Amino acid sequence: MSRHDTPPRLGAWLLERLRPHGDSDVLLGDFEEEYHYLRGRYGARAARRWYWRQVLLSLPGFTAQLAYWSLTMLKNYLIIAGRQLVKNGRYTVINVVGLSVALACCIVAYLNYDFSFGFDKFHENAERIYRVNSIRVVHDNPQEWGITPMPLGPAMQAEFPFIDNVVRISLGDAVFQYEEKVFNETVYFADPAFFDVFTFPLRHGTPDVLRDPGRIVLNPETAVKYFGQENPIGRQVTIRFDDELRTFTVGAVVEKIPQNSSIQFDILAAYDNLRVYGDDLEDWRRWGHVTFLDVPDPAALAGLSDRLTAYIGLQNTARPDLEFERFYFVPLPEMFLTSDPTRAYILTESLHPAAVVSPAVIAVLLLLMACFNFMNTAIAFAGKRLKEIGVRKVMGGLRRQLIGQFMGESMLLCVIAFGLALLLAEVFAPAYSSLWPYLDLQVDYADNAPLLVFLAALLLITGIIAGAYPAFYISSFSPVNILKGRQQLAGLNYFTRALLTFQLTIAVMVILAGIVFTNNARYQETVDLGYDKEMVLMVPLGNPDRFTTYRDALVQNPDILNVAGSRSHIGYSYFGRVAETLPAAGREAIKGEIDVYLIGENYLETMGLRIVDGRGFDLDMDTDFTDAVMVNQTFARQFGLTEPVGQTIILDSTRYEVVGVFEDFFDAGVWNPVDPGALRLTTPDRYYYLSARVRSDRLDETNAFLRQTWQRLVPEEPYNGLYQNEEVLAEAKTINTGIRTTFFYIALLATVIAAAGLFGLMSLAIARRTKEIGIRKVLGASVFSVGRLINKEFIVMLLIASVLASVLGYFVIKMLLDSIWAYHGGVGLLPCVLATVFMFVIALATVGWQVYKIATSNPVQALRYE
Amino acid sequence: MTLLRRTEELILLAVLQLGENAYGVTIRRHLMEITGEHFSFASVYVPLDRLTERGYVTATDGPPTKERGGRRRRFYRVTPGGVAALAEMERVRSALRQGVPKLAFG
Repeated sequence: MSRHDTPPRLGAWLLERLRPHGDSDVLLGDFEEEYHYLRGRYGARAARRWYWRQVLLSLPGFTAQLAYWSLTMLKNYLIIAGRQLVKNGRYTVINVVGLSVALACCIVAYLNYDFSFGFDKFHENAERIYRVNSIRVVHDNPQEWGITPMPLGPAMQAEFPFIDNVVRISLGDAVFQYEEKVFNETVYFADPAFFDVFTFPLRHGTPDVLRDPGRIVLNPETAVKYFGQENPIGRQVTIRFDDELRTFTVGAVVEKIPQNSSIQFDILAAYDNLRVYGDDLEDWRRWGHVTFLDVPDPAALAGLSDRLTAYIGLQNTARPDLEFERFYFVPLPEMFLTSDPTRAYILTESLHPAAVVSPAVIAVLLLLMACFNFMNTAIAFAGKRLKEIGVRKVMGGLRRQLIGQFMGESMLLCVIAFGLALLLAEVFAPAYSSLWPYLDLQVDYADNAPLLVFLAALLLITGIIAGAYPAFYISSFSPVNILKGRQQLAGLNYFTRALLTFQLTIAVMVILAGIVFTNNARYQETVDLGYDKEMVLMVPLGNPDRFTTYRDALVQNPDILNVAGSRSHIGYSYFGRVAETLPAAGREAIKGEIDVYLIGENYLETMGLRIVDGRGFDLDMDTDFTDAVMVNQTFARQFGLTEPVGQTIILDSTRYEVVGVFEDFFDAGVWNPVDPGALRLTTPDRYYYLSARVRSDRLDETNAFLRQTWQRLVPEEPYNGLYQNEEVLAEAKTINTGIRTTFFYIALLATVIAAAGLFGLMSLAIARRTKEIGIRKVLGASVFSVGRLINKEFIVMLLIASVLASVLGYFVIKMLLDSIWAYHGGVGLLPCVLATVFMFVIALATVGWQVYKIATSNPVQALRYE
Repeated sequence: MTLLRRTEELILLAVLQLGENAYGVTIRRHLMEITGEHFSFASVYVPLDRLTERGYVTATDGPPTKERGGRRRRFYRVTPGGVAALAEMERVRSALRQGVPKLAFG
């Protein structure tokens, strides 16, 4: 028997696939009959050729029919699924709402991630733009700096032809005036190639604007602020830098700058204008700005870092106090990953990693919780559908079809939830953005391919996770067992128990986090910063000449207790200096960087700084201006001074005597540990800040008085006074409020989802034990003992969840707090107990009425059941 | 009642003509002989499925046969409903022909 006795097997297999709903047997018979007939007449080859041709010719017709049938079946499944969902209305609503809210959270978390990873990627040439960073080694500890000496960029461009453009960016304070509008502004300065290298589309004007030092660029907000809706091109404005007054012409207005751009500016002028601050742009001693390179062939940068030693030499000769080791390059698209110090106050910071990772983790956990709920309720309800499943199987329903049915139901639910989630995300995204000043999440489904792919994947994964377990588990039941009533639905098996415990754990953890972050916010608002921030108003003077007149006018007011002048101000400005101790017997000299505050009269008293050893400055002693220094406790510790008072230290190669030690204070909130710091006395001709200590119950009135006096004395400049407590805590307050609000809603959501899961499983447990409870009651069981019987299992799960959540939550939340703040309120035991108790109360309320109902019901009802 | 499509009408007529011996292979051969056109199995079975669904034909399976690899034949018979549908086609056609010059049919 040759293989040609039978028709091609592959062709037959194909035909079989094509008619799953018709009878493929009959069709195959027809084909085979014809095949044998043709083989008899024309031979096997012709017959096989015919067979294959017929298979191919039949393909289109049968495929179309198949597609039609699939759609019809789908319609059927959808109708059944829809009926099921409507029948279990309450659970459908809980499931759909839980899923859609969790999905919406995922969308927002993705947008948040996309925002962060999209930092600076909108520049068309982002791939060929590099920033020059520097490395300094202090105490064998390499530090990355984002700033570079001013002449470095142009020198590199002149030496290395593969560098197309160099753009340096710097900034300075100025007073901006157009007609009667006067405001303090920060002006950015950039090299003329700025618009060739970076992609900032212009609303008005031409990209060559910066080649003319007399022209400036505005962002749209600033343009509106000064010029309203009119086109400001060609308008003349005056800008005062320090004491120099200059006239500029508005040359261009950019389109709105995306929030996830490191480069943000209100006013941009040509780099040459920096000379108004007395900067010599060719001087290697001048630092304080960032340098970008435009390198069309990034491979050329390899090894360049090592060829810059000559520049390092130039720099280190010019600034022996500030020695650097090397320069290196960071590609613009990766800049968002680099640490904050390299941002150099010129570039906007990207999101804190904790702000990207934790929303994503939480959103995924919420989604898992919602899916687990879905699984648990689906299993619970399969109990009611066991007969349907049994009948379907007996009638010849294939397991595949049952799986399809359950998956279809789950998918339908997901599609509904998904539609809702898309709408919810439109609400959530702006709400979440509004919590964070630096965030601007745009929901744009139409114009965002990665988002669409992400959403589709999310839908699919959600549907599969939510539907898989019930689909595969329930469809595996044997129909005989089901119909004989032998199939016990393993409702509370280890798997469902684990799912519920997981849900409860997450819920307790999130509640715990909410409590901890609320506590922390309160702690950080009231924490002692080491000085008295509550009673201080501060006014930047702009010009030290104004100090005396202004002070003399202020001291008349009885609400003002003290007035101080200074060159530095806590939370506002200080100077980085290198300090060194003298080598003494048995001890080497210690060298390191410290923060130096130059203060004037009354500053210690006004700010409430506390002297712990020695004395404060004495204005009557001339030597205090030249030789004296006060150090903080951290300085004493890090520089190994056990008896600091009377010791000599070197600051920038000048010798000073330590006259006093002051208590450590936090410069700007509790983000970072206290640096070693020192105070030096400075003369009134350098007072840039005036601080006033006022009665704390008269802060607002006194601020108004300060403003009036300022406007009377210095009418040409705006009043910029501020509240010390708001200034130093503003950022921490924003962050704390944001975290607290976010966690409040997440905790609410997690609690609702967990409670819904508990409720579903409770109904299942009670339904399964209806008869048992009835018998127990007939035999005299009390309401209490029945309640305990049912609750025992759930209480065990809740206890496990609480312990897990407390232990896990303690470490995770502490890690999160540590990653944001150097000093925080900690986690503590009490919040763990509170979160547990809270969850217990919620759980008891959820299951309580169900248990009560069954425990107080008439046992006859239960025994008559079914 | 929707009108029959062309292939449906042809198949119904072929099934009527073949009488007791109307199944896939014979129907297809018969159609090809008379029309001189090629018919794939799909173009026979897809309309047959539709006719069955609408109740114009009924199908009965015969005994398994050796030349078909042990598979059954499915014989089709036209129901009174199918006959009525054919009659309806005739009526429509003759009504449309009223007054159309004979020449048009050559």
